[in-house]
Amino acid sequence: MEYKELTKRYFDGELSSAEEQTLREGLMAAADEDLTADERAAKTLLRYASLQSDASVRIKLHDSSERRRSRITDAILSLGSLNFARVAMTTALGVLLIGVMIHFTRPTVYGYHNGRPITSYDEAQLLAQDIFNNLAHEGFAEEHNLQDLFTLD
Amino acid sequence: MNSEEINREFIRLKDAAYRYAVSLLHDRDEAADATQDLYEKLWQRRLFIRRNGFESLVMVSIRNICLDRIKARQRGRQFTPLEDAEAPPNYRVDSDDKELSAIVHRLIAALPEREREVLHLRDSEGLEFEHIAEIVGSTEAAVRMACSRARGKVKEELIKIMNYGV
Repeated sequence: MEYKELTKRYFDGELSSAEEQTLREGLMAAADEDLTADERAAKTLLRYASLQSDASVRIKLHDSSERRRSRITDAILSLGSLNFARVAMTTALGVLLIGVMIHFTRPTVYGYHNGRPITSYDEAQLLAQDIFNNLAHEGFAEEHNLQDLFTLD
Repeated sequence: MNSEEINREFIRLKDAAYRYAVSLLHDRDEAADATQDLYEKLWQRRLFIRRNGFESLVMVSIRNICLDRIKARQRGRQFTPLEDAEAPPNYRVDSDDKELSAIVHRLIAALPEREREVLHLRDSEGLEFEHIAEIVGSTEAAVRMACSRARGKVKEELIKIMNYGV
């Protein structure tokens, strides 16, 4: 019989889907008397499988037209069928980028004068100069006083 | 996927999922419940589901739901031994076919679970071995082997019955 080899390979699990279809059609068309025991067994199995594949089930589906609320979320997230991982990665990258931008564009604070941050280098230098000048004057005054204090003559 | 897409795709695959559930659970009502459960879960997560690979997702998910139900049964709530499993569903068949169908059903029901599900996915659903391996979490070679073993066992028993009426 021409299906002998195909039947053998069917039972060995070696047939492709197309070959199985060929075998199925061939065996179904053949009379049982013309088939070997193996072929009849294959025919029985294949017939059982094809009968099984007729079974169906009724499912209660959600009616998408009645759910107006879901349409909005659908529209938002169905754009390009974004998956969760991609959204999470993009968000993390965005946050990182914003952080880096803030870090590099933030002005340098050289110090505070009366609670006001000094971000200009020149202004900071002038203020520092003033402070040291004042300190120098105050220091001299104290030095004179001390000299007076420890002078015994 | 949006609501319409998930409905459309699920309608296309629901019968295959149901039949797979029947083959695992041996109970049509429970299989229908499992299929409905699957739909509800997919509906809730529809916004995160992509169209690519949806068929695999459906088959893997129905398998997991069925395995959970089998575990629940085994914990003693509603255990149904395989020997007492339901008779095959009444498909459109004549009496000879019905008889043979019942025999094959019984033989397949006696197979180990992995062989049974591989045989169902291959012969009844016509899936490629590669796809079956993905669904059952195995390799293509192992699936081919399981399928071959299952077919071989059923063949041996069928030949005995056909020759000797055992």
